[in-house]
Amino acid sequence: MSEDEVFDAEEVYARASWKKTLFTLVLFVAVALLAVFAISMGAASLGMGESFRVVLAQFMPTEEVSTFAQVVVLQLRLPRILMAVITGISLGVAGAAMQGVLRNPLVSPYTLGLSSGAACGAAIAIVLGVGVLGPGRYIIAINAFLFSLLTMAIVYGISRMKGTSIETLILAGVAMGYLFSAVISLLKYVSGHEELREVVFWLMGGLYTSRWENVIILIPTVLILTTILMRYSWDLNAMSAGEEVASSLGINVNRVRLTCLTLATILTASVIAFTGVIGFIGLVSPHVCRLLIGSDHRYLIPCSGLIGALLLLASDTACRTMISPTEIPVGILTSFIGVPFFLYLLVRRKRRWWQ
Amino acid sequence: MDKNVRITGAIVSLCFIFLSPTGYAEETTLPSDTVTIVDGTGESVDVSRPVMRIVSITSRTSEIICALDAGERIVGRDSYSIVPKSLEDVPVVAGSSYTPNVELILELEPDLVIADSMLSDDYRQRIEDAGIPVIVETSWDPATVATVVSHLGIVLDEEDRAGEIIGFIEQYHDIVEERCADLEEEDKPLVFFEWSQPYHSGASGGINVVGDEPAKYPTGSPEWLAERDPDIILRLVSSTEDLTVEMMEEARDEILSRPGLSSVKAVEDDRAYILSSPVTTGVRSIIGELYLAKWFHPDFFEDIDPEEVHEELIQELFGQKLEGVYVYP
Amino acid sequence: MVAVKLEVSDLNFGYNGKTILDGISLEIEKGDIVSLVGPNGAGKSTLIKCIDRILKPQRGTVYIDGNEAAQLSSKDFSKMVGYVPQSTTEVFPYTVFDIVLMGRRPHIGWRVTGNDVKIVSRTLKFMGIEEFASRYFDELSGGEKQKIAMARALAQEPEVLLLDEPTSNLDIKHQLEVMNIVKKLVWERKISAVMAMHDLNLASRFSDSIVMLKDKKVFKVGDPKSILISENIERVYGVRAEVIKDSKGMPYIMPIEPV
Repeated sequence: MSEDEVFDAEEVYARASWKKTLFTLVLFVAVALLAVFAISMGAASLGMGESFRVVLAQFMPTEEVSTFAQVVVLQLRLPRILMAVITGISLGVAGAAMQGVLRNPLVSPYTLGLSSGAACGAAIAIVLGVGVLGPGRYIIAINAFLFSLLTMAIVYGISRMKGTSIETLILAGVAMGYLFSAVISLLKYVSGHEELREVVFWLMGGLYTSRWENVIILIPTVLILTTILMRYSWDLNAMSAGEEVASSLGINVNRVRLTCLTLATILTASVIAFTGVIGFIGLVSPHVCRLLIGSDHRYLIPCSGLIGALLLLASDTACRTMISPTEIPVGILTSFIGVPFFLYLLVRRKRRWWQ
Repeated sequence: MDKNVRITGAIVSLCFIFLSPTGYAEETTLPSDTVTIVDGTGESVDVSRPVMRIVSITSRTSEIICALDAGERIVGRDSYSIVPKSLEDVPVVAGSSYTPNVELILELEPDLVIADSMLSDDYRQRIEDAGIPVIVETSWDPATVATVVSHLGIVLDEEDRAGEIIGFIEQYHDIVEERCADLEEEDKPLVFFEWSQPYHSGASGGINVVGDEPAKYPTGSPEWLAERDPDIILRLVSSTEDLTVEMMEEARDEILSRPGLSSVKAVEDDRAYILSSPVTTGVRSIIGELYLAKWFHPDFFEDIDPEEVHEELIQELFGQKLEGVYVYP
Repeated sequence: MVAVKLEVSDLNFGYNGKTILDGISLEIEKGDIVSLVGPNGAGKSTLIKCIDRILKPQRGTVYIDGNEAAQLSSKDFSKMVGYVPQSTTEVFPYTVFDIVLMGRRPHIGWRVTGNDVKIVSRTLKFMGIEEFASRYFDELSGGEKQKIAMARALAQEPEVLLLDEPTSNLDIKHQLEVMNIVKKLVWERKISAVMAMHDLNLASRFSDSIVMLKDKKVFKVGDPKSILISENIERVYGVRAEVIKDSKGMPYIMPIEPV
């Protein structure tokens, strides 16, 4: 290294940090813009202008808007857009956390059997009408949520018997996934036509049941859980070097693993309880993020969430407008939109970090 | 000066209050009244008459509404509501009751939305929250369709017409019931109904071979079927395209040539029949019932030709000719 | 009297019913470079990991500066003891700077301070890898990766540095570079270094003291000249070797044949 080369690592770091912060802000703005655009999209022919006047009318009662426009924008579109954003954030964040904890780029929020567990809970509610907390409006959502947690508990319990290694976690998760899938198949088989349809629809994932009551519960939940998870950014960074190194840096690996997995589970379970299993977002968002700004979890977690929000919101908006009046379940479209984009990034970038 | 203005103002206001009903009477429509229907789900639905704009997202009510001479009032339909042909120009706002597009429905500003039980509670709630009454009807066999027709008759203010239609249906229903009333158990053929809605073969004097099975739509193995040895096999087909004779023939041949069933009585006697859904549910379900009656007990129903009755019914309901294939053979 | 920096007292470690270390006791003085040597499976790496609290010994105590290490919180412990693993793989893409910055973890509460950044920068300079700061880890060679792992441990500002076979995967040039850095560290910053060493000759050349491990126990401890003699090598490694003196007078081992 020559002496006349002035190479300031500090400056390098400062620039990189600034670039990442900027990226996060850009994503944030992008999500906001997309949301604004999505308000004006829909099967009914309400234009941008009229949609905005509805929103404006909430703050300035002098604006005149038809009841129809109000209902469409405020009761149908707005909660759904918010739901898409919040679900996308949740899945993106959970995906990033899971990949970090399990040190594996192929992992998604559903790897530990969560999706099958949730689906099984939902199927039981739909087909048998039996809910863990008794019947009621939210029987399906509550069942799905509780079964997700149950799955995580079982998987973690099993892996503890073998020292909670990453491999046992994943394998136990896969096994539980198969078990629950079998139960779901059985339920499908004995169900009547209507129930069967409902189960299948739930499995495909969709945002058409977005209501304000759900949105209001989810927004603070997701934001709080994400914030807590972000506090583990450093630990997740260090854990990527392996358990030994992480230990040597003063991290209680088992505890961090358990905590982060639990947080990711609750995040995922909360949203899929309402939306069904929406795939691909949790897997792909962190990767897109890494290809663009690297793996520093301080930025990866929020950005992965924002990218998830973008993907899901874009997909859902397309779903409800592409072939009017039919709506495609959003889970189907997330794969179609996500895959080509992801492949493009993959092919263009030179870094291959899984070798 | 002020006092005078105030008095004048009061008098003018009073005039407006008392004269306005009559003054406005010429501009508004006839005074509206409200009826309450207890629909198929047990909900009490208040509907203000007259109902001029209807969204019907189930083919069965669309048929009935047209039959009640109120077809032009349908402003939105589901993709399956294609009979009678006059509905084809009506905008589609739902795939079926399972997948309504709420935005489009609201955009049409209907006075009433009618659906079948596939409509989820959530969707129903949303439409009702927007101030539009929703009637959900759930059963469609000949026994209960009369109730549905009568409900719609009340709502559409076409009660006389409803009465006519109900009379037609009940007339034939009574015949079937009468003639099958004295049947002994042994005389009733054992029937296997393949795929789908639990069909009330009871009324037509048949015994459903899977009547006591626990699973709702069990997939019977050929062995089990051979053991039960039904006298008659029925099959419901539906298709997104129009059904042709060839398609139905194919369906029938498929049953008759199925391996393992050759010893079954129904196959030996060639008593396999194909039905399509328009005649098994809804206002035309009486036709299905007649066909079944004829197949189960041909000697009792020699004088009745269900196809003729069908023609008569179509003419009666829609003033059209009978088109299409509905049964085979 | 030179202070005892690190002391291991009667340490036992085993798993699945197998004992790896049996009653290990040793003392490391401040500013010393100590090499742990022995054949494969002798427990060198295991001992290093037990000292670093990566593995939990069934029995025995580790003392730092006279205090029981187990009493310290993990964070405080990591501020004092740094660990360089035998090899590192990063599953995800990180820049060199990011990786070394992770070494600041024990010191970082919530935010990265300017001080942390400075320390990382200085460490990179010290290791001679500042030019790689913005490069991605997986793009670099084995020798460079090892230096980065060391930089990460150094960023912890430890008083004791534990190295697990630091030269096993390196070519000759990088081996010498790494060992010279260790020497420099000890000399300039008075860090104590404990290395599990595979290569006897490097151990001989660069250590102040050698600990020979055999049959789960400490076989012999002493300075290289007195420890690295043919009988010991034959007893511990099962190999007949000739020991000659290199240009600096340090023992140089030439293995001849297995016994």
